[in-house]
Amino acid sequence: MEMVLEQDAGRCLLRLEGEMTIYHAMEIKQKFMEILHEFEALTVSLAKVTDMDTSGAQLLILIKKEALAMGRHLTLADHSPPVLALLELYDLAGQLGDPMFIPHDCNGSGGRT
Amino acid sequence: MSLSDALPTFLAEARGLLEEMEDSLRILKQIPSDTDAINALFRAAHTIKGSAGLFGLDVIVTFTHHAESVLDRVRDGLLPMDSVLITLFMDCRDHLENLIDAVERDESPDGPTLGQGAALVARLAHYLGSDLDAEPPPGVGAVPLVLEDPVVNLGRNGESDDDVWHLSLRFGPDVLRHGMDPLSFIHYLTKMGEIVHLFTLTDAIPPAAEMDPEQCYLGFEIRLRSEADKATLEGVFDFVREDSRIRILPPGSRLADFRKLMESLPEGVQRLGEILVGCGAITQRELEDVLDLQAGQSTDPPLLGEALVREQCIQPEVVAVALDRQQEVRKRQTQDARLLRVRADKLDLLIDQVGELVIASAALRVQSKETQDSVLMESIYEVARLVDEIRDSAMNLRMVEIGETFNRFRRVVRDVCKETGKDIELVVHGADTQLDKSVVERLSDPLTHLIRNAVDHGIESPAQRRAKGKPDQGQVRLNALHDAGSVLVEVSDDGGGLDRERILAKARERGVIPEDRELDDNAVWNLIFEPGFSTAHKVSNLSGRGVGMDVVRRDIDALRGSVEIESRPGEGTTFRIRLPLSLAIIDGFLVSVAGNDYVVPLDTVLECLELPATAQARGDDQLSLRGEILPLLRLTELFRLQGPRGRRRNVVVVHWAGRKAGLLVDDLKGQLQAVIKPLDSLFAGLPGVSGSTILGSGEVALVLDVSGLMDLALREETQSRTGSRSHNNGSRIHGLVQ
Amino acid sequence: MGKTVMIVDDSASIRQVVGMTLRGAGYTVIEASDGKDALAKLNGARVNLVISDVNMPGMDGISFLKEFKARPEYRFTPVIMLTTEAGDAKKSAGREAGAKAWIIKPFQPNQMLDAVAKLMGP
Repeated sequence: MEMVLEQDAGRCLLRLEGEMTIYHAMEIKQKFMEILHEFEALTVSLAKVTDMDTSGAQLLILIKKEALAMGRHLTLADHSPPVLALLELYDLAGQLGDPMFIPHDCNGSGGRT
Repeated sequence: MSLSDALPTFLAEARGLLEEMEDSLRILKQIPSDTDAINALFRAAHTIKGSAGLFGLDVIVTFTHHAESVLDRVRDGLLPMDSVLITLFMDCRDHLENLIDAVERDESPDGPTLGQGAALVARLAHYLGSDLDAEPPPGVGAVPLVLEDPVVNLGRNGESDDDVWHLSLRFGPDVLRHGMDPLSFIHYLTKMGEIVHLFTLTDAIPPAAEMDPEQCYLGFEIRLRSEADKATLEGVFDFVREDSRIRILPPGSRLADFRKLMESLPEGVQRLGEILVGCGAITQRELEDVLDLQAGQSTDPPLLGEALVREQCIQPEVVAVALDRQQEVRKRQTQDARLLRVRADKLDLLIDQVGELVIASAALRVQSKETQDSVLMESIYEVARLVDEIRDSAMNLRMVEIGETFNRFRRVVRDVCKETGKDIELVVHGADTQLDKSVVERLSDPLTHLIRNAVDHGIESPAQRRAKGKPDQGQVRLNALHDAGSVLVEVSDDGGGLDRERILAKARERGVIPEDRELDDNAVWNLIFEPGFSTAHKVSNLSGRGVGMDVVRRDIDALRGSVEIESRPGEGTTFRIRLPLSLAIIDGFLVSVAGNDYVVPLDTVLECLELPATAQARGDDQLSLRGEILPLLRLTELFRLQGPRGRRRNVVVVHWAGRKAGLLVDDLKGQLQAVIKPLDSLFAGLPGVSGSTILGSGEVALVLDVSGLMDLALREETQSRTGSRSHNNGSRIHGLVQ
Repeated sequence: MGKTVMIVDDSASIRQVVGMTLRGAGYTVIEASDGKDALAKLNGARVNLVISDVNMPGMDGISFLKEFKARPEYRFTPVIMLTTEAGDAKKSAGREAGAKAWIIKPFQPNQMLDAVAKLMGP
């Protein structure tokens, strides 16, 4: 699992690359919490997630809930096919609330800067 | 690739293990307490049992199971190993070797071997005490294949056309850590049916500080449209059942069941109720009723979305997105392939019309040949090809799994067991074999009859069985499989077998056969289908069968099927019913004899050849085909045809139920599709004919009943064999037709 | 797709039949004849599921399971243990060692396939 952080002026893009599975759940959660504390608006790119299990889905919900509680603007973007497949099976799109299918959206990180 | 490919490995391995057993036993003779040797002995038995089970070698599994149980007690120190036990295990080892020899010869163990086994099991039983008859349990998760739980059928009978199950899943906290991801189980569910709706409960995920990312917090409410039974659905969650809360409500469950469910789950009635309403499990009104019942709570519960917003789970716009998404998903689901219930008579009408289409298309083909217009002919062949495809798809619509009928028989077996005080297990194989719906329906009665007979008369009482060294519990097997364009349905029992002498005596007494006539086994077994036996009540107790078997035969004949019997004294009886896949339309081979057309069902045709002139000159009634002697049936004589004959004679070699014969005809006219029409009453009794069909030319052809013709051929053969003694040597077939 | 299953059993015929069945269903199968052999063949390789017999000469199933689960790269990998109904004591030992799924011997190839499908997901 690679987590690449790109940042400029209070905005941040976190790229997840590799398997979002239980084997990496601890480090992913830790990273998620770090960036939530650090940035106002952030986007997590899931384009290069090659595999996702239930722990991965839980982490996405967790970061969404936390962002809401902390008043952060968080967008999950660029869902890769394995991510889409899982979210679709679990019908979580509604609960996560991010637009899917469309790679880049105006709803991204523009609002708050 | 099949199991039989791996059988040599099993045999070699088993032989190696038998040698190990022998070595260990030799050591134990010197030092009876040698733990290594005891362990090795146990492991060898254990391994043989495990792999024998994989190959379905039940006799070996059952026997080894007993030996293994005793060895287990020795290993645990509950039983001392002594010279008596060592001798016993020596004998067991030798018996196992006999059983494995039988497997290698591809035979089932003979009577003496089975007797020997039973005696050994009895000796082993001494050491086991009460847990003797602990049979090896079924495999995964010990779930029986079909559960006789009345709840299973709740709401599934009656007119409820809803087959949607409700599954409420709360997974244990450690499932992810154990590699048991809910994802896999839910994905597996999609193989058992269609997920109509799924709601993922994320309520239990705590704030980040307390959240353990390796722990599972999710719950699911799932609506599943599936024809699986409850045991099968529960079986999906075998591996996580202990730590998780899995609730499965069958289709048609009542509000009270859902109420119990709501009250038992941590989310609370209100929250869960809204989810259930969202899933379509209950209606908003029903939820209100439940809430009212819950003593004076709000009668106007907020919508799920509002509740979420209020709980600050989700922003309002998110809810809007979710709603859109839900609608989108719903729209897609309605477009997806779904099961459609269609009235059977609509389907029958379709089949009829397709039948007419096939005839019309054949007529067109004939007429187009006369025009010599190649473009027209090409188009017509294209149409004919499409008609073929439509015919196949239409016939396919009528195919249903035979298992529906099979399940009914569990009750039959149970009821008869209760009446007779027997203990009998019904083992079903091939329940997914597909067969024309009308065939399945009409098969139900004869099968019920055969199964009743097997339970009632075929299988002995527990006391008798014990005396013969058989297990108390008898077994009736119901098997279905496809075989060469037909379907085989077998009903077999492990009872006493048919009593040859008894049947013969009865037949003579009833005047079914002459006093001095000797018959082979097959002919004797077939006697029980004679109407003369049907009224005989008493014979059934002794001979095994007899009540109304002529009705069974008649039912099966009416389906253009055949039935044969295999019976071994002391081992049991098998009724083998062979049925055509479909009744309405068949592929046929058109032949002509003395100016008349006949259709031979194509799946019975092996090959066609010209009758050698020499054989024709001699008027042989046998044909030597590559060294094999086949009976030759002359259709002219059989049907007493007197039209003009061509100079050449051809032979159509047909087969049915493992027998072959040659049909002597004039011309071979090629393949066609025949839409079978039932025979007029005028022809109904004609042997060798099963129906008629209309040819493209508009003429009528008779469809030959190959199994009936075979019977004629066989009878003729027997007769000519005994001909030197009997007087009717001269009139061969004519006498039989009457 | 492309999931890998390891079967650990001292019986060559069981390995062959299980291997054949699972390969037929599209899985990659690694066969090992006992715990030691299995650990040697694993050696960091990616495995999605392990099916192991309990009673084996050499390293038995329970000891193998303990060592397997102790390796970080396999700590969450599911394991199905093959057992006889006689082995209740073994079962609790296996449970402690981290086995959650059991298949009772003797089993049919299709039961094995179903069990694997239940755990392997899409």
